Amino acid sequence: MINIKNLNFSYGENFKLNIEKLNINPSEFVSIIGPNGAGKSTLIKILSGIIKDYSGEIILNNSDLKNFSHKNLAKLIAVVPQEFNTIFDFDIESIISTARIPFSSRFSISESKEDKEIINNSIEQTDLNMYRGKKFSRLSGGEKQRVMIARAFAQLTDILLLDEFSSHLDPGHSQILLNLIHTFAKNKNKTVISIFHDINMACLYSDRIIIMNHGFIMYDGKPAEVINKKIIKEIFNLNAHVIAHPTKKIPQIIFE
Amino acid sequence: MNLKKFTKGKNFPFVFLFFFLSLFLLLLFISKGTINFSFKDVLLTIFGRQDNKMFENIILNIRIPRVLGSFLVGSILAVSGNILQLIIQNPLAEPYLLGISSGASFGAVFYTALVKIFGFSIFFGMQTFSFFFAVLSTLLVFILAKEGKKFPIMSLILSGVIISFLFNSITTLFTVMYWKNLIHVNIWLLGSTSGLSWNDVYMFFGILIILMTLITLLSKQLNVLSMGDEMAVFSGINPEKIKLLLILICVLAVSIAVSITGIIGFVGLIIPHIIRMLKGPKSLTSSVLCVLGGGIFLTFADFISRTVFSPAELPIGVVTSLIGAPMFIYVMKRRGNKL
Repeated sequence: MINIKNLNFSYGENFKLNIEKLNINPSEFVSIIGPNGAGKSTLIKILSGIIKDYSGEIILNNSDLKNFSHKNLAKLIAVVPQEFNTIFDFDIESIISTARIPFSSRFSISESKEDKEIINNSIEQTDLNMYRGKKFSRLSGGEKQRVMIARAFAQLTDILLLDEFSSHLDPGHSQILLNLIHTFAKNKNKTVISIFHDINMACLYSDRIIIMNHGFIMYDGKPAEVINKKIIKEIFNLNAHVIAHPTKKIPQIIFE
Repeated sequence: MNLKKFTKGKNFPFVFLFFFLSLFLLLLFISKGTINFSFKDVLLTIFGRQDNKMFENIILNIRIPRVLGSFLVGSILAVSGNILQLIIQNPLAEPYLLGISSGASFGAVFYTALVKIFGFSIFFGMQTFSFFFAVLSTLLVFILAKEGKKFPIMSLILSGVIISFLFNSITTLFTVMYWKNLIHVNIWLLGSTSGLSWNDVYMFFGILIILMTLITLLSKQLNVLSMGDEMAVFSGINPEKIKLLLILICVLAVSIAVSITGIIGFVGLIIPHIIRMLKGPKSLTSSVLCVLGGGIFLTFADFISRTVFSPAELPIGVVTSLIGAPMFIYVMKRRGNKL
């Protein structure tokens, strides 16, 4: 699905992203974790087309990312950003409907019947029915991210990129929204790449965890393979115990 | 009926109501002035049945082009203001933010100074110079704001402020040096709709059609642009191209308007605010309403400017500021923190 080779990008003097090789397989749920400044968000920005001046090769579905127009990229990849706000008073439908722009003809004024149906479906899927017609800017942080998830669903892409979308949310909202995305992705065979700050969340939902530091990929494997006391200390400089989840056979960390 | 409840309904009846209100006000402002005509006289003239040649001449060749011209200039300023506010995502954005007004004033003053020093004069010189410098100052703002291939919004605003200061200070310098010759320029700078002719009306109409066509075709893209560049990229749009195209068209439209009517402030700032407050920020709806709202506002200001001290005239820019500033304060206090 995604094949990265010799990816290099530097920003200023202090930051360098350097990924020699990374392959993401179809319908994998992959998490990226790592300390601040590890290059996680930069990688997401490159994949979503915001940063373009990188060197190296990124192959998406057998063609080079550099050959994708913005429009074609948006047909393949949907993004849920860390936080989204607008100073204008758009209703939630207006926000969600932007997901259909890549699929509409260049000069179309209103949504097609099909687009309207897709938007309605994703509103249903994300339980936003009661928010129809509400102003986005008046919603709480959790509700806003739910709208952004609905928006990403409505884009009907094979790949979903989540850029620490739950980092501003309380644990309850994080769990609800992650369950929503996980179920959606597994049912529809979507490939998900998600940045997490919460290591336990990453372990719970991911098929595979990539640990980044200083712009490099340090470890890459199943949660049980890469989450242990030594690696957590090495990467995060965090003293923690790693224990097994009482019902699922995955590692969880607790602070020492 | 409660106004707020009414305006929350579907857009269509609202646009319709606004449209007929505009027609009625146009008729009213055409008939009232230094000389008052009856609606009947105005309608007879419009339909070519007016027997009184003097009435026909005044209504057809002076009153109508002036009122229609003011309406169209108001529309152009309000629509451009709306587009710029949406793209720049800044409520303070208005057509003059990017240096247009300072460039235009400089052009006018510079031309007058040239006339004074070299005795040099050309046909429509002041208009040509002010248009040219309005465009030039905007270009300078863009060159200054450019970072790589992008035009970050903050840089645009800052460059606009800097270029405005630069042009304004040279304008002041000229004014101090040649003040005796520049009094009429100052009055022109404050805006005047008194000389508008049918040719101006046709040109403004053409500009407005171009603006609205572009907005209609790009309405979805414009909606996303107002949500930010990243959102535009996520939605499959290259923000830079469309932003540049729309800003340039707005700048050209406003520069032409300014070169003919002088600087008329507050229309491009306040009308889009009020419209979006009433009917939301969707680009096409808000722009159509800006055409009508801006038009109504400026024909009203024009009416005040020619009637209050009749037969003398107030500069229309003074009227729009006098009405606009208190309105703006009221809107600002009422809207809370949303635009």
